[in-house]
Amino acid sequence: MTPVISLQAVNKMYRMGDETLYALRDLNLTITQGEFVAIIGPSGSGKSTLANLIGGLDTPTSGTIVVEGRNIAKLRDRALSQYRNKHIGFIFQAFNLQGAKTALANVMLPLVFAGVSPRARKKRAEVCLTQVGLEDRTRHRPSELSGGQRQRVAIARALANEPNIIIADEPTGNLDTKHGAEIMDLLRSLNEQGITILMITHDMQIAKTADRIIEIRDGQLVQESSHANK
Amino acid sequence: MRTSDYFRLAFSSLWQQRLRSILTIFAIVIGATSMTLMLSLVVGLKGFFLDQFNKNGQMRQVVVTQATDLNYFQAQRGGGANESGVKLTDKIYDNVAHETYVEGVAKTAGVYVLDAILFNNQTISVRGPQAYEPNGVIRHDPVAGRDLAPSDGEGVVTLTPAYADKMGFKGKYDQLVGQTITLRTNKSFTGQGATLARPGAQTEPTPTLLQAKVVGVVESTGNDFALYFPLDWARKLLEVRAYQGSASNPKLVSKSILEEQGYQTFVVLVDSTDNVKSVAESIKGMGLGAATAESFIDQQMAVFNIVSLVLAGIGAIALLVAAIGVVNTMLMAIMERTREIGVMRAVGARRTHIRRLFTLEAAILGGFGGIIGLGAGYGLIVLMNPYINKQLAANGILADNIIYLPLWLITAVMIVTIGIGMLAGLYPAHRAARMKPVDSLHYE
Repeated sequence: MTPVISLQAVNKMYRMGDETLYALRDLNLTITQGEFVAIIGPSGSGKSTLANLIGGLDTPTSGTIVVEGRNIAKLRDRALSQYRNKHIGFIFQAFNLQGAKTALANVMLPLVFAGVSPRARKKRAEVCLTQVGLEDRTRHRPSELSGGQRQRVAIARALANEPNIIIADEPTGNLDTKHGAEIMDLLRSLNEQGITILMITHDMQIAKTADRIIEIRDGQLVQESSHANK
Repeated sequence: MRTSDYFRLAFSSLWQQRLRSILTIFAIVIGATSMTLMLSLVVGLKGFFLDQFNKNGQMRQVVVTQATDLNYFQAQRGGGANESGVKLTDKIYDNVAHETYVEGVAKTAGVYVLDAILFNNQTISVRGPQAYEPNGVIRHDPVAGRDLAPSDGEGVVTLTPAYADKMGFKGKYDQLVGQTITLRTNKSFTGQGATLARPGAQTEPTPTLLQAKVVGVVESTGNDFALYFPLDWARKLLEVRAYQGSASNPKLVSKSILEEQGYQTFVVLVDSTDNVKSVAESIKGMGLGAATAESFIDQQMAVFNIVSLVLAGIGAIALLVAAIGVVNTMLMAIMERTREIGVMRAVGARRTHIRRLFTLEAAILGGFGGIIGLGAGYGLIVLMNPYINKQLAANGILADNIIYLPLWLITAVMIVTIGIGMLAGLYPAHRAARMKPVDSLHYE
């Protein structure tokens, strides 16, 4: 199977006064195309750092992160922004929608930065909202939507530029069980369409829906387990 | 990212925080209004001042005097009688008139033999009685009636609104035109019309009363109070006459004061403003004083320029304060929108996008301030102009909306306000762009 993400000897250090803290230490990891991977670990373990590095929101202190054939560890702002724009879809625990804008405008945002024409991006955003089952909520603002619906808008936004990889940071963290399950179903179906999904969670039940669970502790990979429930 | 999208996003952000945007714009409006108002005031006055000079051909005049150290206005008022130097005789007049570029020359004389104007039981003391050749070189704009004409001679005068006001014709100058006034000479007057003592007669000298018809109320170019005579008449008034010989065989002898002492000034009209300087130089070469309006205007313009600098400075301070307001607003906005910035970065916004967005927001604040400020400034100008017109008219100056908003000032105000907005936005925008996406996403 082709590796879509490959991390080699990745270190991420923070300096706090005289102390040097390792968020990630000498980490190696390979994720293959189409995998659904859950990353678990206690808070402060480095799991979010790992997701941020793969998502291009942050750069490692050392090591290489090869995603779809290119090392993103050394990319400059312009290329890295384009990488986030075209290759990665982010889903956050707190949804991070723009409150004053409609669902449609929120979903269109990545397309704005991609320079897509207003007409084309509206069309694309409507497709994405339909894909997450919100075709009748396009003109609603986040405050007029339930938590589950808000997260779906966020997922639609993540899908806008047709990314190959979705990074979900505690996607069900702010949702009740029912809505959480719905979101997980949605992620599963996206995964079945071939999108690689990287999900950070501390909930073992949620993690179990993934193909593979990676546990991180003190910035290092401690355990991997695969599930055959696919 | 498309240009239209920058504007779309910037406007929508400003709209979201509209109260704060409006308050920030308001501060810029104050600065832009004061800048607009003050500069258009100075520009208007400057233009008005220059127009006054151009209108009567004063920019093309050289005032020739016996004294060589007078400025234009001193020369125009006749200056002081000077013992030294070259007397302004008819011979000198011919020389001056034959200079190249000279279109015409008018001789002037001070009619100092007059003491008062008597009119309707009023006695108004005479200030600034001036005689000149009404040959078109010296012109005064009539407020009522007409200016002196070449055919005018004995018994004709024009006077300035200040006199007309004193005589009770304020606001109805037309009614003064055609009226006859009495001019009282001083006691030692011996010119035409004076009753001269016969030889041997012991008579006290008495003032002579002369009749003059007012043909026009005209704007003055120098003093507020001016009484203008045709030179031909003045020539006759400025004579020293006396009887000589015995009582049985009196003999009238007369002497022209103008021939004796020379004319007060020659006002030279040059064919174009470009040649004024060279004409003045060659007249100076004859040992005469030659004053031009140019040097005087240069001085006046220097004053105007200082005033405009000071006024523009006041506007600039107001704009500076407004700029600090913009910095503050933008820094606040960036703090509040940190997460939003993080999201934009996560979905693909580059540092450049963020920087441009926030700089644009600040520039838009500035631009709106500029537009509204220009509008407010224009409104105030429209309100002020009728009042200024009235004030000037009351002083006999015909003026029509002297304060106005030139296109260059509109452009300048827009450039300055937008520029200040942009400048004020640079630092906040830089800070917004510098934030790491990870940090801004998790900012609480």
